[in-house]
Amino acid sequence: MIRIRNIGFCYPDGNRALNDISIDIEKGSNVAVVGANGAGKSTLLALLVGLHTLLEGQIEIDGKAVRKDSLDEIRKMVGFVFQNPDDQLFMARVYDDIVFGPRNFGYSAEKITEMADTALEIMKIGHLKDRAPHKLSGGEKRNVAIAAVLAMNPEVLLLDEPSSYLDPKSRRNFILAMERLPHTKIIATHDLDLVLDLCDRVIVMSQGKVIADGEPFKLFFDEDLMERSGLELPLSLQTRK
Amino acid sequence: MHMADALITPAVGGVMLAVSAGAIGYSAKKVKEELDDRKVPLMGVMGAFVFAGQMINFTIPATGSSGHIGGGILLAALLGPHAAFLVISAVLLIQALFFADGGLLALGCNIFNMGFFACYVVYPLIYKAIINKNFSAKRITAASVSSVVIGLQLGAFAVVLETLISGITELPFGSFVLLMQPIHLAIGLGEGIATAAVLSFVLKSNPMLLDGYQAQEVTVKMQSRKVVVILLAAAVIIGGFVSLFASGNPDGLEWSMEGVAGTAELESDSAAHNAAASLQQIFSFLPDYGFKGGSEENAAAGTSVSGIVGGGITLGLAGLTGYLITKTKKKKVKCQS
Amino acid sequence: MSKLAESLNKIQTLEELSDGITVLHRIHPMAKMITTIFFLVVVISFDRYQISGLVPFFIYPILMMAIGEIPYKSVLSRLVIALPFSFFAGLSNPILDRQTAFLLAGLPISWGLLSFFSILLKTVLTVMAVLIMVATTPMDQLARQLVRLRIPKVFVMQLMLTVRYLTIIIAEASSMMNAYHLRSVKQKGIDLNHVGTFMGQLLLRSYSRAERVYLAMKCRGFNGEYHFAQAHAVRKSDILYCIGLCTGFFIFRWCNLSMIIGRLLGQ
Repeated sequence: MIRIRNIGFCYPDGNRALNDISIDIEKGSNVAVVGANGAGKSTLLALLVGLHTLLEGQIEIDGKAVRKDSLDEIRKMVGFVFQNPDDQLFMARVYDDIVFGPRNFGYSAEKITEMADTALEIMKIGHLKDRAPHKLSGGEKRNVAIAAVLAMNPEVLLLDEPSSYLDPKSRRNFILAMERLPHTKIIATHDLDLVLDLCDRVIVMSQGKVIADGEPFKLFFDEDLMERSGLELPLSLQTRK
Repeated sequence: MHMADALITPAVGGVMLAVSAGAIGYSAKKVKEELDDRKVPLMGVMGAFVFAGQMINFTIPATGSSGHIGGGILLAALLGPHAAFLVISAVLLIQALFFADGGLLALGCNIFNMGFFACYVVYPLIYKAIINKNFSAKRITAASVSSVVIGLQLGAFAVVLETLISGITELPFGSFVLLMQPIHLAIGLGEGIATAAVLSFVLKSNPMLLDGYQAQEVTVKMQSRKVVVILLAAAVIIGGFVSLFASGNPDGLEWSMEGVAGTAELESDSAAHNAAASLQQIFSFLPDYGFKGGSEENAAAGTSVSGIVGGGITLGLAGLTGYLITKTKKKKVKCQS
Repeated sequence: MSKLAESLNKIQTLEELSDGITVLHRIHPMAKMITTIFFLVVVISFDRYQISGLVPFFIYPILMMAIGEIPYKSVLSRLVIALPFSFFAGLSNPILDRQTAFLLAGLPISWGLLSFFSILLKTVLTVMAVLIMVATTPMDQLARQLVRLRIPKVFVMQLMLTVRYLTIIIAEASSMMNAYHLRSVKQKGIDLNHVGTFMGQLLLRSYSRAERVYLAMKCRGFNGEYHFAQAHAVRKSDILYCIGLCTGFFIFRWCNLSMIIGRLLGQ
């Protein structure tokens, strides 16, 4: 269970990114965060793993406040999948990247192998183990990036624009893989069709504020809301309109 | 000016490797002391940046020539000398491994010539002194150009010394120096200008990235064309000086090849002969070989003919075996498919 | 092809080669490293007039290239870079040292010419030896061995990161170059007036990438300490490979095989 209470954040250059946001997220739910470029989606995700320090308000994950001294615990619980897999996969070999997290948290060698193998199996990428990340396709990279996060055995998955860099087939595979995972997922995205396929709840952001929160099918038909938040009706719904 | 393995002796390569390894150990310790774990990913990516940057050529107006950014000074100005030294060492290692740009045993020489001088001599003594905690486009330009030029001059001179100590080439000291230094003066000016341009851009757009920068007012930038004109004038003057000095020097520094050859031959004569004689005794399996025997010259000829025939056969056999291995391997693949 | 695209191509070719599955690829990286270094030391320890003694050393690269399935094209592309410096540094030898060493079919061969060819042979041999190592061993495995050799972890880690981001930054630079050239006429390189902005832009992009990489590392519990996986265990065959080849080099160093064969035929 994630509790976000009245949080606000400013970038060092004075740019106000978030303003008085409060959200509760149930365990096991799939929540989408949508909104135009610069609406504050990525900032919100970054705050959830303590990549930036909160200016106002409070975030609690499973009763644990996100603070400087709790970051290790928080990061064990919350896995962050970056928008660009090339930023996330920095080791020269896929396997090394997958065990990077578990190694940092100091698990035993056997435990590390076990965690890595489980993650490889969930994402069905055992065959990529010894490959070099930069030689993989976009879809493979994405899967490896997710596996690298799953290897730390988190309860919550944060995904930033997960369907970017993916061709239609890889995108479909990604959605299927996500459906298999029991984790609480928070997905920041522009891909509203993805939201329809995967999420039971959508939070619409605009200029650092939450302007709507509800079921995707209801919100996406609200033309006025979509206009205000710089979004458009998902392609798959356009014919039904 | 990447040194090749073939031009050095194991002793020179070994000593320089040890020196450079020591310097790497020192700078790694310093980097760790800085306790900024943000720096290592930055160093890695900056290594890749310098690598790519050195392949981007720019045109120098009115000369028809081109240049690219240098590594050491640019990195030191951004990351500080210790981190920069590690990055440049890694870049040189990768260049040797991936592109054969510089030898592996010569890596120590190359790290010393191109990394050590830039990061640990020129950067603190010249670059920082000129900047003097007062970052302005003018100072950055002056500091970069002079640092890169001096760094390359030192590096080029080290190449000369390493080659001469190794004694693989016949080039006399004077001629070698006169060949290397002016060439690297020209290269240094190009690299210096590019380095200055990049650092001035950083000063304008995000000065906090500069090593040792504290917020201050940025002064007007110098027009790069103006800089080129001034530097070209400097190059011409220095070049003229060097050639004047060269032609006035009686030590056989005339740049006609015959002249150099004529004087140098006398010096190398006895040395070459002695070396050759001892060589024949030490390295030949049996000292008394040859086709006909008799006069010394004939013996040498016999030796060399044996050498050529034998070498040819060895090479032929090796080639044949290699060919056969490749052949059988291909067959195997065919069978499998 | 632009310089950037060309080197990108070279790196990729090399990486593909090093992913091979030949016997040579399976040899322990440390065994290959020691063998390569020993080979280099032995080759450059030869006297500057030595040619016949060097020739038998070609047996090693020729056999390894065949066993490791390394195409000769890659040797050539490396020689293009490695040879010029050796060539010009060695060129003075035949000019300055013209004392006749012997007559070959009536033609005088000078000591300078001998030493010049010796330099060229050494260059080719050393370039081939390093190529064999990198074409049969992935870079990350080589880097891991450096940790074993007590090279500081900070250095090895940033070396691996440089290798990792090399292709990405080169590709980024390459597309920037294309975009630049599409909007500028008849220019080979970047105009000097644009160098600062162009390179600076690439620099800032690299910086923000480094920042994102760092954050991604932080998210997975990174606290400044690097953990490297254990390399594969050393097998008997690895030790045999290493000792066998090094002994071979040692013998070739002291017995001139060319001479022996030549003499046998002469009699």
